[in-house]
Amino acid sequence: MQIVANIIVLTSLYALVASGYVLVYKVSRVLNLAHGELMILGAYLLVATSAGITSDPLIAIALTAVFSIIVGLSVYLLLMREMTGQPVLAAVLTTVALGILLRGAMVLIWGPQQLNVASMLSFENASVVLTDSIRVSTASLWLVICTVVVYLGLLAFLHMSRWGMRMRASGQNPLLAAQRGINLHTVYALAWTLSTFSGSIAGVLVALDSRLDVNMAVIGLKAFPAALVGGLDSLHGALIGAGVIAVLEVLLIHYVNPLLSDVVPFLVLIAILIVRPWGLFGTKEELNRV
Amino acid sequence: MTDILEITDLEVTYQRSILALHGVNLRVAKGQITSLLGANGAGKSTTLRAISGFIGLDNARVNAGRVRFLGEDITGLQLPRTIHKGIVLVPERDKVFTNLTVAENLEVVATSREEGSKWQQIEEEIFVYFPRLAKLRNKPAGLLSGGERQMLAIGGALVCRPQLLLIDELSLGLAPVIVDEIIERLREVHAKTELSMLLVEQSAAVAFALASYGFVLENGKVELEGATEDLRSNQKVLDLYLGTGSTGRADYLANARRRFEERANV
Ligand SMILES: Nc1ncnc2c1ncn2[C@@H]1O[C@H](COP(=O)(O)OP(=O)(O)OP(=O)(O)O)[C@@H](O)[C@H]1O
Ligand SMILES: [Mg+2]
Repeated sequence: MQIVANIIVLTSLYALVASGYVLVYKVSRVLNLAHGELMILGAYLLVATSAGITSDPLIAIALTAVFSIIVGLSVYLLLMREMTGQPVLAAVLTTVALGILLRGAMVLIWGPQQLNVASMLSFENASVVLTDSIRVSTASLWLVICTVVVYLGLLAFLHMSRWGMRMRASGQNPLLAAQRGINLHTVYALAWTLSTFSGSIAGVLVALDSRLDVNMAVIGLKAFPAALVGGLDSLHGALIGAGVIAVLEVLLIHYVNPLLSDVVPFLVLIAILIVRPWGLFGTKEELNRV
Repeated sequence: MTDILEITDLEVTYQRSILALHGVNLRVAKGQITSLLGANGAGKSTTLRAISGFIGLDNARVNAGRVRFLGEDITGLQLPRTIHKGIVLVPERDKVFTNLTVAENLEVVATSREEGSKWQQIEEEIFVYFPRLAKLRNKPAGLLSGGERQMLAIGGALVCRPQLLLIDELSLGLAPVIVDEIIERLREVHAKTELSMLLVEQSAAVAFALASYGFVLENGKVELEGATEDLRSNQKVLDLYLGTGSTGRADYLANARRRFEERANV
């Protein structure tokens, strides 16, 4: 039974991170390969806030959320905005460069050593006993809750609000969106902001659950197959993709060899790309684009 | 009668070198429907895009000439500014958001002026013009037929509250009964709102059914203009766009082939 709990926690992590890829891709057809770094930056922002501004964990987390919104907005306004109208490949390469730069900057500022964020915030990551045989850490529990809230929030936003509709419309037909007076820059900025925000939540919770160092950006890469398996432009798909990858990863770690953990997502990715190149839920025409 | 739109000596190039329009002159009278006829590649879509604002992707530029809208020089004005001025385009292709429902397609457009409850009202207005759409309200637009898409596209454009509606290829690829229905609906819209329209068509029959004045574009230049009655009796127009004259048609096809070859050689 513990294994089920582990699967749910890992699914939540991948799903939360994958939602960031999906948002930006769905709206602008750009793969944000700096998402892992932006996610970890969220955790470092929490470190900076708690060291420099306030020691109250809740206020620190709230401030971090605000900062992550500013980061997402800046990434679009200062960098990706210039890429609007350029070939998608140029934009994707820009995100690769951004990822490398962020990684370097984070090492320079916060050093290469592991940080214990939980103790910095005096957050006690006690394990919660759900039943006799199942226990999860407090941070993991928060992770599951946040993922559910983020997904419900995003789905409601995309389908019920006018700006959410505009985001879906712009992803499908940017030319027509512009011809209907929709400001594409606003839509793209919104996508980057939401994506960085949800990524930062994941980064913060992962850091609280273990330690924090720059190499944890690899979680971003591992969640990418989850998004892709789901078809990249579908939130439901990302959720299922995250589930598929989490199940396989947990089972293989448990029954075969823990060292497989890092390769499982990519094995699944390759398998899916061979069988259904447009992902499990993506629009079939995505084929030409990916 | 005042002109809502006035284009003088408009020259447009693509990729800095391909001259698509060389010296187009045309006017749209306020409150009237004006047609723009022309064969494939004549430059009709280019003219409409020059009015409504090029998108970065087109790599197109106005080289010379002027576009005046309501007396104001709007040459080279970009989206979404042209929309705010009241110029709305129904494009030739990809005219609806296929992943959105019919109702969402109407709601999604951006107009800063009418947020909130007024929306419902505007949407209902569109459904009155196009009752067929009301029944399809919750269907994804990707599942609509060509005719329904055209109606939805016109509806979406109307929601933007245009002062000048530009329609690229109203009848292209649609069955005659559907074309008749759309013509009827547009007449109703026009009777009720006196909306000025510029209608691009390859079929003279459709253009003449709606417009009171027309221009004929050929190779990036206006070859002919006049009131619909005059154009209707013009032998050249008859030959080319109503497919009646056999020699005219043959000439035209030979011309088209030559133009195609010229272009291929570039
Ligand atoms: N994006 C583009 N890049 C380069 N040349 C273009 C582009 N769009 C159009 N052209 C050229 O400009 C000329 C006019 O094209 P335009 O699309 O305006 O014609 P049209 O009258 O709308 O034709 P159709 O009836 O086929 O839609 C054509 O010779 C075409 O090849
Ligand atoms: Mg055209």
